[in-house]
Order: sequence, then C-alpha cells, then structure tokens
Amino acid sequence: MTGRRATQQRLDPLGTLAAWPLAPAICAVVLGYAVIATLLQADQVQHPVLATLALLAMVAAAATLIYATGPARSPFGARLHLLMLGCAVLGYVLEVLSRWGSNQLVQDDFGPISIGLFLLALAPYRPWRQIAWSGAAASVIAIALTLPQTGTFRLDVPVAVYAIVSVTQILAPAAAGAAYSRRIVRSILIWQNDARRAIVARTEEARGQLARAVVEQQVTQLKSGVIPFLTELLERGTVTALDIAQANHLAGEVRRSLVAEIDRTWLDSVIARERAALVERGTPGLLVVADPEHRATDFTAEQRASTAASLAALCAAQGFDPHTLVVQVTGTPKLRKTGPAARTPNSKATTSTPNIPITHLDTITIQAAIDLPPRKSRALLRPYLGVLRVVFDSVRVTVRRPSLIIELDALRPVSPTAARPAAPATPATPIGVRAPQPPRQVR
Amino acid sequence: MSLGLPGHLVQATLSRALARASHWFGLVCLAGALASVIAISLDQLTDRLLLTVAAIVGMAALLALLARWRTVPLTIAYLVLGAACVYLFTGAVLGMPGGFTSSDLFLISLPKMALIMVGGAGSGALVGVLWSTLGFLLAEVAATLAVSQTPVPDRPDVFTIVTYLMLVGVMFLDGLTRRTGRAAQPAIHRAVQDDEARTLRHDFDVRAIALMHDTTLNQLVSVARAKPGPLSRGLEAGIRETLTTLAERDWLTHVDERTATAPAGGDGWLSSAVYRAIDRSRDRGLVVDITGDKESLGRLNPEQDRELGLAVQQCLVNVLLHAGIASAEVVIDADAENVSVMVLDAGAGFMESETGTDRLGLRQSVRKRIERLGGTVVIWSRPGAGTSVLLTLPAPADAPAPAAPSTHALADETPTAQVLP
Repeated sequence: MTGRRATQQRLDPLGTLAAWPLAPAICAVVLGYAVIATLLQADQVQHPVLATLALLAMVAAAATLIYATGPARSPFGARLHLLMLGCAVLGYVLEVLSRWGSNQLVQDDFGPISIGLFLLALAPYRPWRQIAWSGAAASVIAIALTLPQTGTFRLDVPVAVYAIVSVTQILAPAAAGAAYSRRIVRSILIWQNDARRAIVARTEEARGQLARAVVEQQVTQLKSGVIPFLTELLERGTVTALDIAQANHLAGEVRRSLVAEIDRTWLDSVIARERAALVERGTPGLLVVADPEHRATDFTAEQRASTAASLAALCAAQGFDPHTLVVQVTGTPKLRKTGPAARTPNSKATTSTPNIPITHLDTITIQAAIDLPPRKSRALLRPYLGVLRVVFDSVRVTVRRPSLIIELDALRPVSPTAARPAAPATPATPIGVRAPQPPRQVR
Repeated sequence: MSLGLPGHLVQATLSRALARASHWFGLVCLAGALASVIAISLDQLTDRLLLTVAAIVGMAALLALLARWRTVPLTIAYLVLGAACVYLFTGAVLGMPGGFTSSDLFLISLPKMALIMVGGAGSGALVGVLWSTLGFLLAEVAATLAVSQTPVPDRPDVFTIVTYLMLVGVMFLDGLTRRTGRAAQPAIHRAVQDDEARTLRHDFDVRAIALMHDTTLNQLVSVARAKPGPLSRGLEAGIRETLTTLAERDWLTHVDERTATAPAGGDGWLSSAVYRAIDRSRDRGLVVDITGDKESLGRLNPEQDRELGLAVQQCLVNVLLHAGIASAEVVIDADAENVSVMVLDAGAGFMESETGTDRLGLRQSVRKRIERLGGTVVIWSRPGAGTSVLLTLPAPADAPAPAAPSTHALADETPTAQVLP
C-alpha cells in the first residue's frame, strides 16, 4: 500500500477495530452539544425551522460516521467521508442562517467545533491528507460565514478575531486527527518493513531444507520406474513394441503426477494442514476444497494469508463440526455494456456482443457448521472479518445456527484481448504464409 | 500487507501517535492565539501585547521541540513557559479597555488548551494523563491569577475543561480497548509467514517439475514414438543425456540455484545456454537457422541465461516431437530494455482446443519459467501455418555485458560446455 492512500484501518484492521467506540462517543458529544447550544441560545434563533434542519444535518453526519466506522463495514471509503463532511458543513451553514442577524458570539456556535470533532474521529480511518484538506476547506467556509456577520456580534473586537475563533475550532481537532493518522501509518509501515524483512530472512533459512524436500520427492518418484526402464533400454540398444507400450504408460503416469502437483494450490495446502491439525487434536474431519478451475492461484498474498488464518481459527473453534467445512472458489466475469464509441474499428466481435468483461469476480465461499449461538460465532470471527474486509473487495457473512457461510469477493481487471501483439514476419513464417485471420494465442 | 501491529509495539506506537496529535492540536491553538493577539495589536498596540506575542512564539517553539524530543526537561520547560504565557495572554487580552466582559471565552482558552496538549515524555496512557493533568492545573491557576488582576468577572472555562476531559477519555480508551483481537493478531502474522514459505515451496516445485518434464517426460515420449528396432542415434543420445541429467546432476542446485557462476569472459553467444540448447537439438537431428543479434544474449544474468536456454530447448524439442518437420528458426532480438528469442517452425501447428489439458511443455517448461523471471511468452500457432514462440526477458542494455568480438567464426569454436546447463 502506498503512503498516500494508507490508513490505520487498512494497515492494522485489528487495532482499528479496538478503537471503534471513539466514533459513537464523539457523535454523542457533538449531538449533545448541538442540542444544548441551540436550546441555550434560543433567543438568538430567528428561523426555528432552519435551526431544526441544522440539528438534523448534524444527526445525518453523525449517523454517517457511525455507519462508516462500524466493525461490520470496513474500510471507510472516500464517498462516506465526503457525505459526512457535507452533512456537517450543511448543518453549520443552516445554523448560521437560522441566527442570521442576531448571532452574538461565534464561540458558542456548534457548527465549527462539530466539524472539527467529526474530522478528528476520522483519524484511524482516513488518509491524513484528506483529513487535513477537509479541515482547510471547512475553514474557508467558516471564514466566509463569519466575516459577513460583523455588525451583529456583541463584543467590540476586530472581526478577524471572530474568524480566528471559528477556524481554530475546526482546524485544531482536524490537525490533531491528520497528525495521528500520519504518525500511526508511518509507524505501522516501518514495522511492516521490518517484519517483512524478518519473514524473508526466516524463509531464507528454511530454503535449503525446502529444496531438499522437493528434490527428494521427485527423485523417489523416478527411481521406481523411469530410471530403470531407460537404463535397460540403453543397455539393450533396441526398442521393442513392449518398450513402446511401457514408455507410453510411464509417460502417462509421470504426466499425471506432474499435473496433479502443478494444479495443487495454496488452498489445498492450507486445508491439508488443517486436516492434519484436526487429526492431531483427535477429531479427524472431512474438509473439502472445490476449485475445479484453480482460481485460488489468482488471490494476493494478503488475501491468502488472511483466508488461511480465518480457516485455521474456524477449524480450531469450539463447536466446529469437522465434517462440514467446504471451501469453494468460483469466478464470474463482470460485464459492462459498451457503447459504439468504445468499439475499435476492427474488432467485429464487440459489435455482435456488446457486453465485454472488464473485471473478473473471484469468490471464496467458506461453509461450515458451528454449534455456537450466532452472537458467539460473530464474536469469534470479528477480528478475522476485520482483516478480511480490508483485503477483499466485499465480504458477506451469513450465520444461521449451526450453519455459517462466509463469502469473500475479489475483483480483478481483465486485460482486453485487442491489446495482444501480432506475430512479426520472419523468414520461416512470412506474412503471406499465414491465414488472413489473426492467429490465436495458445496458453 | 495487512499485518497489523504486534502486541508489544501497540502501546508505544499509539502513545507516540496520540502525542503527535495533541502537539498539532496545541500548535494550531497557539497559532490562533498568536493571530488574535496580532489582530488586536493592529487595533491598539500595547507593550503587554508585544510581550504576549513573544511568549506565544516561545511556547510554540518549545512545543515544536517537544514534538521532536519527548524528554522530561523539555516537558517541564514547556509547562513552565506555557503557564507564564497563559498568564500574560489572559491578562493582556482581558485587560484591554472596553473589549471583553467575562473570562469564559474561547479566545482565552487557546493557550490553556495548548498547555493541556503537552503529550509529555514517556509512553503509556497513565503517564500521558498525568502530564496533561499537570498542564491543566497550571493553566487554570495561571489564568485565575491573571483574571483576578483585571476587572472582568472570572467564570469557569468550559472549553478547557471539556478539552481536558476528552483528551483523558481518548487516552484511557486507547489504553483499555486494545484487549480485543489479541489471539487473532499472532495468528495472522503466522499465516503471513506460512504463506511466504508456501510460495517458495511452490516455486521449487515448479522448477523441479519443469526439469522433470524436460528430461524424463520428453524422453519417454520420444521412446513411445520410436519404431521397433535398433535405437536411432538421436534417441540413444537423448536417453544417455537424460540419464546423465538425472543421475549426475545436482538436482538441488537446479531447483534452488541462487546465483550461478557466470561463464568467465568469452563470447556472450557461445557461452549462452541458448547456444548450448540449439547445439543439443542439432545433435538430435534438427536443422536450426539462427539470425539476429546473438551477442545480446550476453546481457542476461546467469539465472535468466539458464532458464531461457531450457525454455528454448523445450521449444525445439516440441518442434522435433510435434511439428513434423526437421527444421526450425531462432531469431534473437534485443532493444534497450529486453532481450527476446523467437523460435519458429513451418510445421504442423496446433489449435488450443486440440492440446490436452494435461500437456505440460509450453505451460510449465516455457511459460512458467519465463514468467517467473518477469518475462513474457507469446505463442502464435494455427494448424498448417506453423508455430512461433516469442520469449522475452527484461535485460537492460546498460547492464555490464561481457566484451566480445562479434566476428567469431562459430564453426571454429568449440562450444564452451557440451554438458547440460
């Protein structure tokens, strides 16, 4: 993850999960203050409807914040950030309008400090630049709202002081939020760098051992059939029909075993390990991987690791029925309608089929039976789901005791077929030799 | 990588981040205080206001230092200077004739809030709370003292009190709520480690399988296609070569060779594995035409060289086994970034649908090999129109290439190594 987009939530989902009570607490403070401020300064309110709308806008901003920071909804995206900020700024504008002409002081307006506190609450969830820019933009609005009210204020001080008061109420908490976000992201990135180096070093140490294991496995397979057969053939110096049949048979066998090995994915390894762990615990089970198209290979390292950790937690959970786990990997192309402008002149295929896949949706579905109350199942999975939600594009969980279904979606862009290069002309296969249709690329 | 922070680092990291946040909060408050004093000074300048400006600037400078070095002496210095600044600021602002009517002003709270945001030395929620409480008490005492010397009535400062309570609340919250997800974090770290090991193992498997395919499987297929009778010269050479490979070769080196020793000096082309691969195919009866920039193969590093050689060998074996003709062409090309080798034949060609899913040659020995090194493989083929395989590997031209005269007569040279790469 690049520093620009990095947030604590994306880098340390579990830590952020622990900080979630902060947002409701800040919302309670903001809403409580907004209501009290409105009631205490009722004499300054000129338009009660606008004042009510201002409070409602603040409620909307608070609701957005609580929704977006909820443990079941990560990561916190830019759209919700903008929506929250928009509602809060709208609430501020409505508040100022409701008191227009009779506002005595700026310091007791709830708008600026509410915006500031909302931005502060974003610290674990949003990149620091966006928090800082939001604060700056809201400050500009605050100045624009404060300066025209010059004549109505109670105290006889330069109007700049009023503007400074409103801006400081926004900027101080926003700057604190941005500084927290920046600092924590940096710390986590530094730690991750160290951790990655340590992991690489540990893997390096195991390198020789791993390589030896692989070699041993391959050579053992060959020693039983292929090597004696070829040696004998060479010594004899002639090929018989029997040899030919034997060679065919051996080739088929070797090919089958190689193919089986190649098609083995990380998911198979993970499940094999869990199976062994279950046997060790004395509860052997039937764990099934259904991935006929080997789609598991397309997932990223983060997705693999978090899925593996979740599966391990599931298999080790109390009440888990070891005969029920099924991990299925399926894929569907996501289609997009293309207009005539999107077609390339020589791609006839797109004219007849206007739907071309732009992304591929791969889904890991984990099904299991856990004999636990749904509340406990969710509590067990909460930390893992916090991580899964960050590394997958979407995560769905269905708990109906005892059945538990977790669906993990990963989107992948599909490269357009038109981008494939054409074969250059060469002496062996000059252009004229080839058929007029573009050759097919063979995988 | 969504590793998250391990338990032992959480407290120190959070404490640093919270301190940084409170320092910025304080700096913005001080900037607001400074700007206000300057705005007021433009209206009516007094000596007291000038002194206040100096105090605020000094306090901000100390806070900036504190943000960098969170030491006990700096923290104490900040608290002392801050208290003095609060006293001066409160007295100067409230002492202005005809300005303010009470002390409960946000403007007056600015330096006080900055003093609370001391975020002092040490890590841990309790230490932070203690320093902030000290700042809060000092600020209140200094302000009360200053207000008492002005005609303005002293009223409780809600802003400072609420700020203090919120700060303490956040510190306690972060200190307490870190308990959840304790078991999950190490599990995820372990999973990341396991994944790394699995990836390496898979990499080894892929290379071992490619080698198996190159040697054993190809040889078995050749035998299966032979006609009954004495072994042909090509077949015999092939079997001998395979057995040598399996028996004498250091499999381990092949599966995991971090750095192969580069051929010392000499011709980039003759010492390349591609040359040796072509040479072996010629031994087995294939006529191979070579054109293009042969010397550019010298730009490849030892691993690239070895793997490209094996991939080209597999392509040529495919021509021998499947194309139905005994001639092929190898075109070597290079640009500033890449070196590419194209293997062409005018033989039978094939369609994707006609190749069994269990076929490994192109998939394993060619495609995976090259792609593992960051290269690309493009294959064009149609029945009757031959097959072209383009292998491209990244090899920048500025990499040190062994200097070699380009006018070597190939026929006069003994190949550097007749053994397998």
